[in-house]
Amino acid sequence: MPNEPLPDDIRHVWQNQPVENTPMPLEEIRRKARQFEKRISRRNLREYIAGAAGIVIFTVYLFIFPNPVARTGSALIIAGGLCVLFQLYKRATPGTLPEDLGLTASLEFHRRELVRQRDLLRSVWLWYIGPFVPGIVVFGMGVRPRHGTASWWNAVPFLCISGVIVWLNYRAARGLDRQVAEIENLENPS
Amino acid sequence: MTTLVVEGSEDDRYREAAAAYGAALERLARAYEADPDHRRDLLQEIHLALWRSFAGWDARCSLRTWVYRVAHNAATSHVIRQRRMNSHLLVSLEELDRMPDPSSPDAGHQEALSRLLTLVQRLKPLDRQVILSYLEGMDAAAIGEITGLGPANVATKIHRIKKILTHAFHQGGRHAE
Repeated sequence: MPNEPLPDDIRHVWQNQPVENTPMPLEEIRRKARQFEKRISRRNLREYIAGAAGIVIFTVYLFIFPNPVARTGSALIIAGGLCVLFQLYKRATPGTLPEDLGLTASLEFHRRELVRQRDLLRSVWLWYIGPFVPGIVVFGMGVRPRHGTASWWNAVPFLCISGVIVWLNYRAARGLDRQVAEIENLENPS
Repeated sequence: MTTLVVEGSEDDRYREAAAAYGAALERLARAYEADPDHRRDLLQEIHLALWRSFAGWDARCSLRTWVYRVAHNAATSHVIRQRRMNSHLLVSLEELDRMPDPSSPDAGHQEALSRLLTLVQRLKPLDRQVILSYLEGMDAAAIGEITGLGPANVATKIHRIKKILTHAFHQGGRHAE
C-alpha cells in the first residue's frame, strides 16, 4: 500500500480541523454559573413543593376520613413524606461538577462517578420509595371498609410498580458494576 | 507542545488556558458529542468547569494536564448524564481492532475527518481519552498523567490506536495532504 497514510497524517487531519474557537468572555461564564445555580435551586424547590403538596393532601385526609385505619395510613404517609423530604434536603447535590476535577486523573474520576451512580441506584428504594410503603399499605386497608373489600390488596398496584422500579434500578446498578470492575482492572492490573 | 506556567488570579489563569487550549477543547467536545446543540452546551460546561477549577489550582501538574483532566472529566460526566454510556453501544479499542474495516475508498480531508470522528465517538470514554490525547500530539507520559493509566497500559493502547488508524485509513490515500 504505497499511499498508506501514517498515523502522523491523521494527527494532522485532527489538529487542523476547522474550529470556531470563539473565546467565551468571563462575564458570560459568570452569567452561566449564576444561571446554572438558579436552575438547580428551582429544581430543588419543585421537589420540595411536590412533597409538601402530598403532605397537605394527606393531612386533609387525616381529618376527613372517619375510618381510623385510613387515618393511621394518612399519618404514616405524612411521616414517610417528611422522611423523604429530609433525605432530599440531606442528599441535595449542588449540581455542579466537583472542584477537584483538575487534580483527579480521568480514570479515577470516571470510576468515582460510576460508583456514585451505582450506589444511588441501589439505595434509592430505601429512602425514596420505602418510607411510603407502610403508609400506602395501611391507607389501602382503610379506604373502602363498607364494601368489605378493604385489604392490603388495594396497595398491590403501588407495590408492583415499586417492585419494577427497584428491579430496574438494580439491573442498571449491575451494569455500572461491570464498568467499575473494568476500570479497577486497569487501575490494578494483576 | 509547550507547557505554560500560569500565575495570577483565577480569571487570568482561565483566560490563559482558554487562549492556549480553546481550539483543542472544541475538538474534544466534538469527539464527545455528535449533536451540535448538545456540543455547544458541553463546550460551555467545560469552560465553566475550567474556570471554577482554577480555585483549586496548585501547580502540581502542568497547565496542559490540568486543562485536559478538567475537560475529559467534565465531558465524561456529561456523557454519563446524557445516559449515552450504554456499554453495549460503545466499544473498546480491543473490540474495534477486531471489527472489519469500514470500506470507504478515496476520501479527502473532510471525509477522513468525518470517519475519524465517527471512530472516536464510538469508543468507551477511557479509550476515547487516550486516542484524543494521542491525536493532540501527546506522548505516553502525558497521556498517563491525564488518564491515570500505567505506562504499560498506555503503550498497549497507543500501539492499538496506531494499528486501528492505519488500518481504517489505508484505503484512502494520503488524506492529510
